[in-house]
Amino acid sequence: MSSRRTMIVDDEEDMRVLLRMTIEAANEGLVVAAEAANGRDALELWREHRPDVVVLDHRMPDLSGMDVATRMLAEAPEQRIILFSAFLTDDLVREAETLGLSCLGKEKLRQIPELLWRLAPEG
Amino acid sequence: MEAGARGVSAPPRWLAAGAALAVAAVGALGALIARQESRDDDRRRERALAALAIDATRASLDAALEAAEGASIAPELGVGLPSPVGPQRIAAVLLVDQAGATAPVTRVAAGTAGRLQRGADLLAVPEAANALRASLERGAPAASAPLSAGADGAVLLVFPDYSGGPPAATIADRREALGGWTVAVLDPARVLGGDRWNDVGLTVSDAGVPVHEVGAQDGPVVARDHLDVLDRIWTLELRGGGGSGSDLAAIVLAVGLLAAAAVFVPLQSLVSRARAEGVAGARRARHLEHVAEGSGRLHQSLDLDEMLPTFATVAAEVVPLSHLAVQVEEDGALRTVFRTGPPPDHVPEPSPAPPPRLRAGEAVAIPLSRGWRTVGSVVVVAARDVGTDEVLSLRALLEVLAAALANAEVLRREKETARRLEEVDRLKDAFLGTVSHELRTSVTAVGGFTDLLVHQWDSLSDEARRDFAARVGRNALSLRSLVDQLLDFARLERGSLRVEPVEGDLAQMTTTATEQLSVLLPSHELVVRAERPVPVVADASVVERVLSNLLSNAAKYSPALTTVTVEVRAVDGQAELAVSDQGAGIPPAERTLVFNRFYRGDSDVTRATRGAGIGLAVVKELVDRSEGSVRVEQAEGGGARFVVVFPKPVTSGGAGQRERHEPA
Repeated sequence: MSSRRTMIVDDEEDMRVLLRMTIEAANEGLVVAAEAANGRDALELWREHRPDVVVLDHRMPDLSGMDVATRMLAEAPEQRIILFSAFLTDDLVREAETLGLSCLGKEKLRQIPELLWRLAPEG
Repeated sequence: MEAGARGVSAPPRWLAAGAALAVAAVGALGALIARQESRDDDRRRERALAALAIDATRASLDAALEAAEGASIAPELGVGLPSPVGPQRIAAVLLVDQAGATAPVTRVAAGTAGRLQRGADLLAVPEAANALRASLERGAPAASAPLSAGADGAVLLVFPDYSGGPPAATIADRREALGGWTVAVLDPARVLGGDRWNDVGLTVSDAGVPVHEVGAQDGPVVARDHLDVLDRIWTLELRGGGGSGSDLAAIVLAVGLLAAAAVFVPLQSLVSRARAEGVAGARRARHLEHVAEGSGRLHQSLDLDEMLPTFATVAAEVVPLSHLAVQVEEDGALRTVFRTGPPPDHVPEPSPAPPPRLRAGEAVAIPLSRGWRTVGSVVVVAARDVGTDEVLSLRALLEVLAAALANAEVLRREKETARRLEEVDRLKDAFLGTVSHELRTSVTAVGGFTDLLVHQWDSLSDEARRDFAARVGRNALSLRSLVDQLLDFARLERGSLRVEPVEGDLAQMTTTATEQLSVLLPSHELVVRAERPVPVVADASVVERVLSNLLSNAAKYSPALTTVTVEVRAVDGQAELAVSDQGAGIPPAERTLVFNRFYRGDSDVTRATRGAGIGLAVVKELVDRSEGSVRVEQAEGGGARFVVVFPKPVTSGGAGQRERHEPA
């Protein structure tokens, strides 16, 4: 089973720890390749590591999740991105789906591993 | 020889063929002329009497006014003569006491009717009482029924006085604001004697609206005069008896039939005088039309920018002006909002008694008022000499403009209020959005880490377990703080934050609270200086919430690894709690604004951090309810230092001006 490399972007440290633990504990070949606490670091690390799937928080200071997603998709239209946010309004979901993003509310943390596995392209 | 009669010429055919008719006509004409002349005499007499009547009425009022000048009103009742006092004013001032049960006369000027002695209660005079009440209800001057028998008895003209302000919008409010009445006595019967009133009528009007009418009202106006009454112009009009139009027509025809020069001259002067009156009447009618139409156009828009150019056009149709400027009153000063035509060299001050006539080239400033309040002023320069009719029409238009200005002001204030409410709504939405997001994050963390602990306990290291448990604890505290904030917000909205102060030790309340709250500052060093007891009257949970908010702010707005200091001490007989940080501080201009609900400063630091701006508003509310105060100053080293002051117990011998609160 090939490994799927993921990247976590969230400004809350607790969320990053939680996501990493949840993803790695699922033990389905998912690996956290990089973590970023803000949008700009995220873009830098993403270009460096080229993960298969990005887990992206929306509400962050400076660049928001949607800002980051837009830039990533401009450079790599095939990039798989999950918008993982506590604040999913109808407008936001519509905007995300137009761009081709998947959305998941933060209360559904346990579904992250499965979603990641489904999204990651064949290795 | 001209036939001055309109439309009828004297062709020679008539002269020749009508000679026989002429003889007969002379006889008829002679009779007509004789009758006309005696009627003419009557009219002349009436006019003289009318002038006399008006003069006499005015004289009695003038005499009253002169007596009024310089005198003062009973100071204990706190009402003075409406200003400005001048020779053209009426004076018989009556005051109603605050309960409104009596209306005693407090001053009577010479020349007024004998019944109005000082101390007399006007509400006991039924005619007066009705007029007083009518004027109060309408918020406008009113006239009483005649005080003595007959239609020509003395009449009271009543002006309500609203303590210098405008009449309020409802009857109840007007009753509340009423300071008293100014009453004028009108007594024309003394001059003319009772039997003249069969043929003659008197009308007293205020800005064109009749206030009182006596006698026959169907004759033409034969004399008119104006009175300045409390900054308003009152018009007194005397009307003569019976029309003479049909007789005139007969005369005109007779002139056409005959060609007698000796008869002609006096007849022609009659005819041209009739025409002049007709012309004057037509001109007055045209002016009234202009005013009516103009006021309709002026009322179409509440927006001054749209309405003022229309006003200039309408005014110019009534009175040719070479300059017009409109000023509105704003915060006690006059601001020019519209100007057309070359301005005069010298702009005069608004005169309280505007002139009855305008001279060409002369600049006049006319004040605009609603009730007793000035809403603006209009400066005009007439392009030619302007007579009283036209000035009256212009003044009627100015009344309309004053109303429009007052309406525009109301509209402007309502729009401002709506804008501010929209702003608060927007900020409130942002606050709720932030708080709900942070709530969900904390809930997810608590659930997520607990889950990991439960399901992965065995495979986790000791260190990891401790770490996760601590995270659960921190997020639980965060949850509690967020819930407290939401509840505080709800209570702030409804005005029901409850505070129960008791006597205690502020130092101890502080150390207890900071032990719990230190987890809010994981990346900062927290120093607490609260060794000696500090007596205070405060609610311990208020102290805890205040500290919680101030410490969260300090954590957010100062860099990691810096120190946050909490100090408790007794200062100047008060109990003081201070929280200082080493961040960027708060600029002096914002030091009062930060305590406003939803206020967030404008620095880069503020924009980068998250927060809803409610914390300090809650602090202020809680502290206010505790009979204390809060302020922010600059800390040593440039950061922010929030200082909260609580009251000391009275018995402890400090400044102790505040009352003790008994424990609940």
